[in-house]
Amino acid sequence: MTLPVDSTIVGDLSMRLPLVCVFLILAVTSALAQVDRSKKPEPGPTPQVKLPKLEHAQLTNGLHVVMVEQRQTPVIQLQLVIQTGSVADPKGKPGVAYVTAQMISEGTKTRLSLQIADDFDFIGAQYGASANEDGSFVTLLTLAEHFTKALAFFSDVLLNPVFPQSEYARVQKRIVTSLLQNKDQPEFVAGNVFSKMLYGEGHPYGEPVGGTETSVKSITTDDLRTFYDAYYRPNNATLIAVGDIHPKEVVAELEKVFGAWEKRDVPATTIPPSPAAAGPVIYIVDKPKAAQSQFRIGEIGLNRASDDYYRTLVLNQLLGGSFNSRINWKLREEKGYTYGARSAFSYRKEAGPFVVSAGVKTSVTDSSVILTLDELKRIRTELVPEKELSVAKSAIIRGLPRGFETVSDIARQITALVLYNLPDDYYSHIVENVEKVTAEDVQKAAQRYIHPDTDAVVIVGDVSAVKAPLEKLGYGKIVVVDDQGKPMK
Amino acid sequence: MKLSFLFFTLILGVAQMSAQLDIKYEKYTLPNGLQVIFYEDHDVPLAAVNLWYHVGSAREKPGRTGFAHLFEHMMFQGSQDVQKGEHFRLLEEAGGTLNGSTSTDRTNYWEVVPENFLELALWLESDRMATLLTSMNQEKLDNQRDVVKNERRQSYENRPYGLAWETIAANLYPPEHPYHWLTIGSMADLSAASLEDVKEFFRTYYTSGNASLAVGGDINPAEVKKLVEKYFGSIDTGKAVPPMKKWEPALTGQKYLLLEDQVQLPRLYIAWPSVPEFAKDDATLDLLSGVLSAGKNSRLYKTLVYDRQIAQDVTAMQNSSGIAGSFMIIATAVPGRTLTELTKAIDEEVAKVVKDGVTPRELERVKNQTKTSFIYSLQHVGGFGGVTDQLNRYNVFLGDPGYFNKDLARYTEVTATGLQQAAKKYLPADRRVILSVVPKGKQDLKAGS
Repeated sequence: MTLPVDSTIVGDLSMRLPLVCVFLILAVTSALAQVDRSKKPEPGPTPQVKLPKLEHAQLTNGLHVVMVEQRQTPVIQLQLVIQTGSVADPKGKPGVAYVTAQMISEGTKTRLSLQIADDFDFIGAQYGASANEDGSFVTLLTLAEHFTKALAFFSDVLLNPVFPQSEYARVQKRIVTSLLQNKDQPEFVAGNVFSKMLYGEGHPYGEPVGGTETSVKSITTDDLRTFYDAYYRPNNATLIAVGDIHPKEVVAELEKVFGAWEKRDVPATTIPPSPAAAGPVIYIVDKPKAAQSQFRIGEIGLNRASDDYYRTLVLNQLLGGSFNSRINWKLREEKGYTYGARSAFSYRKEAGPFVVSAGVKTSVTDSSVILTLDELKRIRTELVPEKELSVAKSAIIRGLPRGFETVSDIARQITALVLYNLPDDYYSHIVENVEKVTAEDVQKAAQRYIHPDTDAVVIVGDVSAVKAPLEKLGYGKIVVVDDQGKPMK
Repeated sequence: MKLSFLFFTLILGVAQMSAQLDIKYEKYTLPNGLQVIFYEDHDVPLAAVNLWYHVGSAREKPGRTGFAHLFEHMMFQGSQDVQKGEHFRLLEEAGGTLNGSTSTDRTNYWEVVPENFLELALWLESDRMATLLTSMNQEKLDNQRDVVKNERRQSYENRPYGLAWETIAANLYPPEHPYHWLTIGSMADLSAASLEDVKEFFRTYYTSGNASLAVGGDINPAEVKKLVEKYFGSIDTGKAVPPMKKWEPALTGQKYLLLEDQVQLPRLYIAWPSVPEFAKDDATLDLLSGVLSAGKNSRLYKTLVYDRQIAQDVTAMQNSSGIAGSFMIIATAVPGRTLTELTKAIDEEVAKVVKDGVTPRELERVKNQTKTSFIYSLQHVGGFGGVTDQLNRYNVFLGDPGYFNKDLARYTEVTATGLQQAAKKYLPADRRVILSVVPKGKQDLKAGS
């Protein structure tokens, strides 16, 4: 073990890959030249694409199964994707989807909470359940050796949860307390307030997936049972299995344990249309004497099914999606204002947010906001130079194999296909779809999805230090809000 | 990743797992002292480069805390043949990823790239090892000093409970001990760092003889050997770096410490000096931490969080490093509870382990969790904790890159008696550091009278 305080060159600027499945076959480089350090080595030939093999099956109860046989390591990952997430939370009760996922392992018809935990732990299986806006997810990583046992435990929590009141009382208190603790985390507060400001009261994307202290206190075990009964259905789910096992064997094992899971019509969920632009406006959440300001700048972007998906992928890569992207380069490597700045589009079933985020030194909060807005303007007005564009596209295309190293990586990629209803042959088109993005496409996408004149800016920092300089920017009105986004007196 | 396993199931239906990892590697040393390790894994067309320098914050001089890590940042600022920003840009263009980190005892750098870009990664690593100083300047230093100060603000000062670690280190280790401060260092010392410091540090510690290079993945060792020779062979070795001596501090009594922070709930940190990484009892203490806090059925979690519900969370850990180690228990009180109550509950649970030991099932459970986590982590050939990182860790600290099975055996061989004895020896109730971090103005929640 090492101390959890090692320091790294790159912090939260994680450069996660787009969700795709392409294997590239690359040739070996062998050209040995004279020792000449000034010459940058050239890579081998252009990679060719080879598709991964997805096997599909349907169990007798309708459960769709997607499998990849992956024999390299004796481990197996299972991931159940429920096609319903926090969007289906009852009105006024954000958190139901999330709490339901938390609670299915807290007691079944035959096993108590502690036994369930012990069963998984004893064989070293890693179990987890969670939800986001679009879906609910139950995950298991196990040694292949223990697959049958692990699957029995896994299916039991999925099929037979009883949501015992005694366990819920404890879990509920724990979640409420952790929501209280979230107030301590400027990143969390900034993200929450930002979503609320973009989508407004009542829109499901404006509500926190994990709920609020008030909402979770109001959620009962009946709410959880109702959600579970409605949405945890084989016809509303897909099971992904990746690892050291033959697909036929997976199906046979699954039939045994999931056979009793009953189909039922699942209520449709509808997502209201996105509201109009939130800004220009600057919201400040006060954190007295904060050493840094955490800021979020952005607006509502696009959904996963949009034709502009690839254009915005490339756009974001060079704008704020990598270390060398414009925003990080400007704020960190040129100015030294931050440890890291990034931008991201969240592609969901409906339009998710586009956001630029960073933690900056308090005294340069206003400058950082201005520099960021300048970059957002520039990407709209100036055509991206060819070299910069080609670097961004190469990064996405050549980076694909890194997303498929482990069974968990592969399961995560398939999850995106399942959740967003993308076809299997989606894989074979990634490279060409990214390659064909032009500088004009990037500019058009920027003009369509990035509006620095009407963005919402959220800052969690020391109001007494940052408010006056921000007022001088003249970027819309400035509103001091609490950690729930409510205006302060 | 090819792992072959031998499993044995016996003993009254209890899963007794004995895994043998078969990780084949090749190691040799260049005439300039650079140690080189190859590891083949052709499953995914990726290559991983992982380079360790055997230097960390423990080598820092007084008045220059944080320097080893600041220096790590300077390694990304370009060298003779690589412009500022080019290091990241070239690897990004290659579809690669990279990072680096600094601990008390080592600094590591890694790249994972499509295998046809392996030479690029080797070239980048060798260029900065060979020529970093030729392009070093004040502007780069000032920029990265600012970045690192922001890292300190973000990860320590503006983070809830973020200054706890620094306070514990300063009280667990005497001022002369190199673990007295954290790798991030102090703002004042970061301000004091000079270009001359950068040069001296580079010449002293960033030598070929003080480094270990692991290359893994979809590689052809014969080809890579030529590339390593080409790019690293001519680098001057510099002077040998004398090893650091183990220095395990002892406490003579209890130290109660208090910090106020912008937090909702009070958090308790109990720290004991323990043993360095890979020392006798290190694995035992690791497993003890699991028995105490891994999973709902662990001793502390079950009592404090599950049954009595006086704590929101509890974590035990054996933090072992090169020349010393510490054992810590950290717990956050739920609203309405004090850290004195938490201390008492923790002490009772530790006392039970000391008095009655642990059950065979508890020990087996935590062994299984440890082993499987280890196997899961080895699916990655590169990056932090991947196979190449582990090869270097074993090589740099033990001189044996293939320590995998011996490492697992350290855990397999721990007995219930050994665990009980370790709890007794290393977790005395009267010699330790107890830090309370409480919400501003809530000193009454702290531990101790």
